[in-house]
Amino acid sequence: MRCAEYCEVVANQPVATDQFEIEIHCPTVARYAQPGQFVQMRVQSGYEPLFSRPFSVFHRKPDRDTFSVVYLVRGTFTQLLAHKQAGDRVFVVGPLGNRFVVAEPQHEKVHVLVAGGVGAPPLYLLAEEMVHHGIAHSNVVVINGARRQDLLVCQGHFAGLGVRLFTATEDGSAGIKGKVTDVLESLREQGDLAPERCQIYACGPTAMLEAVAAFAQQHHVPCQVSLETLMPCGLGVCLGCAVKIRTGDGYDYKRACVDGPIFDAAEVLWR
Amino acid sequence: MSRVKMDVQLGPLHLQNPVLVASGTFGYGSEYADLVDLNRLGGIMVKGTTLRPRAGNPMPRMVETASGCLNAIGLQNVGVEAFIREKLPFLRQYRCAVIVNIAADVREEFEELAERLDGVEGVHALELNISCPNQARGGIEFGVDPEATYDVVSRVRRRTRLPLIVKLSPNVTDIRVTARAAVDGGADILSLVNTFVGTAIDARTRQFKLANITGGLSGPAIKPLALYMVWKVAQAVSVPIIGMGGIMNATDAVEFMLAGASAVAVGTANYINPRVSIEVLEGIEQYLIEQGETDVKAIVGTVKRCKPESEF
Repeated sequence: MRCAEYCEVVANQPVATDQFEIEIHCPTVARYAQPGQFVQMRVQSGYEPLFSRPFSVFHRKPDRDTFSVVYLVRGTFTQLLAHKQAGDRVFVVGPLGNRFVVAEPQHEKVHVLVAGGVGAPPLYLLAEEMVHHGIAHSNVVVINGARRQDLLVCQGHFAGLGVRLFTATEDGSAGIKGKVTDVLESLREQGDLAPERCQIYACGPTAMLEAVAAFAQQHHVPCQVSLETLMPCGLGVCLGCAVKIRTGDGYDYKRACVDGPIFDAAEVLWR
Repeated sequence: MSRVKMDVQLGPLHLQNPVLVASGTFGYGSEYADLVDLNRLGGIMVKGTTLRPRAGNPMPRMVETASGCLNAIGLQNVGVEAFIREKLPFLRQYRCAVIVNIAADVREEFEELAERLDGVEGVHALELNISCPNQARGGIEFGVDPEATYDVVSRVRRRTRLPLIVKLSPNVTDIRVTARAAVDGGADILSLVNTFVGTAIDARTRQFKLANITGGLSGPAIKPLALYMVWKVAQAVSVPIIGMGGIMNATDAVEFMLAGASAVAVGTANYINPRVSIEVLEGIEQYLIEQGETDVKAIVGTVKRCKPESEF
């Protein structure tokens, strides 16, 4: 079930440096969005910029008929979005795309969620679902990374879930000084990433995803990645979001918007 | 029940209303079926279909420009056999016309495609894509050369009894020349315009933004150019025209009809609002009521010169 309609903004608040969380009244997305799925949003009244933009769903509040997304203000579109106030309307199409698949048997697995910057929100929705499903808190490992402390997203939310939370910043302003792959490496050295009982789920910048995928492949740990590309339509028709996915002897272009955005990292051709 | 007559007859092709969705902007219909009532559309022009499946061009394939978008998808499609086997059965459930956009590198492939689709249940017309700007060979080459246009259209004409639409390229000095060549070759209907060749450069990285270097420009940026070409071709030929190029709303669509188009196709706007084609249809009906018209056909080609402002 998905919708394409104008929806009312309920709240639009800064959550960190240049980061906002916008809550939108939309019963369909509130009810049906799954972890890893996204919505296409349009806030501009004219044609500048022309296209909608994709945002991963962060929170669902079915009792309030709302959902929210977290965004980083970095261009014309997100500047317009940051100016939206409660009562304003935005055009929403969604929920779209596939979801992270929780590895089975889910209660026996160690689920490692690797987030980079604004890649964190869909992983929060996933962690929340895992906790809801009764997966032991100790079996949900979140590695949240960013360049600096003030660019970390969802840190308080992850902490609030009571899952095992590791933090990495490149300048050392929070958690360990280093990258999310450094945390993965130290977990592996401690014996926490036994391939047969571990699953990685990653969302963040492409360079980070590629590094996490390389780590997963090297150590034979299954890994799902959420790919980010330009998505003009989000509905699978424009073919502008194609990603190279391995086939038997070569590759095929798959659509990140409907065949993804979640792919098995082992199938992605990064270059 | 509509208060105005909306059906149109384009030569041999009857449409329940004049609003189509343009090839490459609506997939095979199924992608939009839960959001749009396909039964309400005049027709669906499906994604450009080739004899064999195509993987398409490398990424990046699409880039936003001022009020527009450049694309260089490279005809990624499932191929004609998979289209007939996997995509067409779904479309047959609906009463809108199904128009298959066919594309090829060489003339013989156009003929094979036309022959393969002739008589296939659920195909209502062919749209001959001689104007795709993203192919190394063929494609646009036919569309910019009047002799090649005539030759490929007449070859296809001999291989099919289906209504034949020829999609014209705007990347020519005088579009009336290729328009006449297509009609002489046997086109029943002309559709125009396809995209305008353009490029985009990233000043910071000093690189082209598209892997293909060039792409086809679409969106509201091209509307005045497309509108002019429709008007010009309408003066030059007697076959019906499907107007397209940057139609974003009902007013845009009406302008194309006033310029001489008997039907319109909504393209890039489908990416932004999946329901836009229905909004365009409803908006045209509303416009006709406001204008006191009872039949959509009555407005085709009725644009007049503007009156001097002093006449008050």
